[in-house]
Amino acid sequence: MIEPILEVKSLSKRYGDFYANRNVDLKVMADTVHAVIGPNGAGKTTLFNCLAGAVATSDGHIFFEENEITGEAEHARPVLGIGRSFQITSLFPGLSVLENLRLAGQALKPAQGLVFWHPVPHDCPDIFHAHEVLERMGMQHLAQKEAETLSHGQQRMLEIGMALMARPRLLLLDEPTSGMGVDDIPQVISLIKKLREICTILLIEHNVGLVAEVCDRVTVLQNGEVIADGTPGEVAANEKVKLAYLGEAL
Amino acid sequence: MNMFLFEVMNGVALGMIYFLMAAGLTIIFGMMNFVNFAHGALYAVGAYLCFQVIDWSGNFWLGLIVAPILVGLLALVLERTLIRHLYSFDHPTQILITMGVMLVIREVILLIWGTVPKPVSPPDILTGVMVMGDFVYPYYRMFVIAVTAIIGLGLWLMLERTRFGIMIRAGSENSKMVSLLGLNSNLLFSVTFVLGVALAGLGGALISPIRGADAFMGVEALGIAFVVVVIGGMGSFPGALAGALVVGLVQSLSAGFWPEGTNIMIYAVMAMIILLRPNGLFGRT
Amino acid sequence: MNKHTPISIHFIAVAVLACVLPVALQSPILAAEVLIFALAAIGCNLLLGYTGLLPFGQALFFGAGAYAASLSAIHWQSSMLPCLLFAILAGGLLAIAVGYLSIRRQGIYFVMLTLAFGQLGYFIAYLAEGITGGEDGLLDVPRAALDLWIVPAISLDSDWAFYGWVALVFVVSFISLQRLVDSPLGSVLQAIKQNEQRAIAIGYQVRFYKIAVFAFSGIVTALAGALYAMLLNFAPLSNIDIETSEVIIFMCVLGGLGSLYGSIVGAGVYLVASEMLSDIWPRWMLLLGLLMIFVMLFARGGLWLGLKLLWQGVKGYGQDKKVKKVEVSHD
Ligand SMILES: Nc1ncnc2c1ncn2[C@@H]1O[C@H](COP(=O)(O)OP(=O)(O)O)[C@@H](O)[C@H]1O
Ligand SMILES: [Mg+2]
Repeated sequence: MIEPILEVKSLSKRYGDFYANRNVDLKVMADTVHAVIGPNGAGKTTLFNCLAGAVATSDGHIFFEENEITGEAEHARPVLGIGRSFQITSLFPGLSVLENLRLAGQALKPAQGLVFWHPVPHDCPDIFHAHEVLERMGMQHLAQKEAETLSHGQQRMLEIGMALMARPRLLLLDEPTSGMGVDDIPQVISLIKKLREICTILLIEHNVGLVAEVCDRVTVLQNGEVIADGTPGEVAANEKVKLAYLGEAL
Repeated sequence: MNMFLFEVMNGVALGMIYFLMAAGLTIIFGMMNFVNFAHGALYAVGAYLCFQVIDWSGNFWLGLIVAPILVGLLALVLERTLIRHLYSFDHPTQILITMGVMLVIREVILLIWGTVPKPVSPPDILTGVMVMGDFVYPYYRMFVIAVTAIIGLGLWLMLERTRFGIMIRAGSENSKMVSLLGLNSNLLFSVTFVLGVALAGLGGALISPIRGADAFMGVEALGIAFVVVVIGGMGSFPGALAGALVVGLVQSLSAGFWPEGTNIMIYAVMAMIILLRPNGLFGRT
Repeated sequence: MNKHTPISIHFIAVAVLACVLPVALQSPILAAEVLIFALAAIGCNLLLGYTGLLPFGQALFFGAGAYAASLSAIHWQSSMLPCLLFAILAGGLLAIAVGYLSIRRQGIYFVMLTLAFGQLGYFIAYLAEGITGGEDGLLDVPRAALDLWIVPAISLDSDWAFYGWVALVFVVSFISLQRLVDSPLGSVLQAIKQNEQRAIAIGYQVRFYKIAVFAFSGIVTALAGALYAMLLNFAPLSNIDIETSEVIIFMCVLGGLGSLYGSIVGAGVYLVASEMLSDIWPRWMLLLGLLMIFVMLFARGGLWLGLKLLWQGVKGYGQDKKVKKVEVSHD
């Protein structure tokens, strides 16, 4: 079943005169793991922000499962089936891990968030689901700890877990390994391998090993524009890409 | 017609005092992203210190010069002990803490000087009125306009021409810039805070011969100063001047026909500007 | 008391408090005032302590409640419940309007918007002399009788009877709002306070929830204003001024952000201190200022947190003693 779950057509994002994204075209096939790579400041996070609705696009169209979602509000997109994680960890620091996850689950049922006459039930489906997610990440023992007391690696995992609570069909992961030590990275790789069984994944990543190991397809951004697109092997051999990264190294 | 001119002059005088308050608030906000709700109380301290120095020395000029300097010293102590720890907090926290500071300052004023406001008289050469044809205007208010205009010009020159001014402007436009340039931001922040507060102190000293020194005078002034800063654009120095003059003129001119309505207009205008032009009339969008 | 404290415990706690308070303070009037301002502080706490929004115009809802209840009592001779209903409507609708506009901006701009609407309300009330009595306020507000239609109307003219009614309203409101903060809606408010950006990203329409919490805040604050007018037989213009907004914030912060009990403590300490200290030492607000700074810097839990720690300390001390005794007996 190879058809695009996400299609981006000539998307641009301007800040004043500056193009953070310019005419970006992108097709993400269903049930694949697709990476967006590029030097710092290439516009990768900006692209994710447009896909997740956190910033308004200046131009272009976004289609998700063949429906245009360009103008959909940010808060509506998890309901549509798009979950995202952040490059800079963004949790509810004072709440327990379980509550972080439960809140992410509850968000999909807006009517439930309006209930003000009875306490949060102890055994609602969201809590059940939250335990499932924790189990998948091997973090069951941390359920009752406050999010801010977790180690950096654990916080990064919870970051992904919150996106998973939406049972997304498309999962956007912005540098899931950012700031992680090398020891923690295999854990992320194995998680992504598990997750690809249940959803399509679009991820931003700097770790070359991870991209080579888990990604089916890679799109390369530089200065806001797509400069290459193909399998990891094709992209690695691309002259423009080599030059882009060389430019950064210099 | 001359009544009109009289009100215009009053509006300008009032506006220039607001400008001193607002300029201080706005550079502090621009530089450190810090909201100082104790600004009004420090303005009152300026008025009281002016009164006190005159009371001891009998010399108005000494009071006018020494009061803002002492207020600046007080600001330095405050900044070193408390305020500098607040720059990284969110606005609600900054506001609540500086409200506490405001209360403390106000109560200390009442402890020292009692609950009865203190009258301050202008120096002999500035008492009386200036008569030009059929236009009559108090000398002291002319003096206020002149002094604040000179101070404003001096501030503007300093911001435009000196190294310190360039740093302040760089900081107001982008606080990261300061650290990027490797500047000693701790020192810069202290100086900015002291300068901003000293301006409020000067405003208080200048207005004391008109309104006297009153522990509660800062409440209204703080509200107006914030209105001015919001109208002009938080962090914008020219905005503070324009906003202050607009507010001062509106207040004076409408005092003639609809005094109670003035405040409605001022707050309504502020609400509209926040909603429609959140960066103020002079702020960058 | 944490999130999982059953509602029955909350009920017992506040019911006991409501019974003890007038006896301890030796004045039903002062006790009523404490409960009334506790409601107003709770209204502020919903926004500030639970959602992270600093409202500088709470007096608008307080004053609106006072005027609405007073006007219906004066002009329509309404009984108690309709009076309070009008107050709730006025406060709730105003709060929705103010909230709808104010939450479009953040930080200082949000604060200035709430301040501006509060001030607009003040000057409008000042100008609308025919309705609000302008500067003089509304005089001779009657304490509307409690008419439940099935039994003869109960007069609330005596201070004790009125206190009983205030206490009843307080307990019902407190329990309802404690439920609210423990509810799924309350958990969304927590999320917004902790990290608004993430709350939106996981799918909450944050603006909507903020307006909702404004509505609840406006309702409970207006209820307080209405009861206050009937307590005083008077709805002064000062109900609606900046100082009232500030006092409400002081009580809320002092008592403790994020705890409804804290707001009772904050209102109680503030009012009792101003009652007792203002004669002995009129400058007691100096301490209030210092306490505000301390609480915001080091102990957001406020006096309520202090009381809890004290209680734990006492308990811990008792246990220490027991342990020692056990050791001694071992010897
Ligand atoms: N809100 C904004 N305003 C102005 N410029 C922005 C904004 N957000 C991002 N940018 C700019 O857009 C460019 C791309 O940023 P980003 O998408 O974060 O890059 P990446 O994630 O690829 O490292 C950067 O130069 C950044 O400075
Ligand atoms: Mg990025």
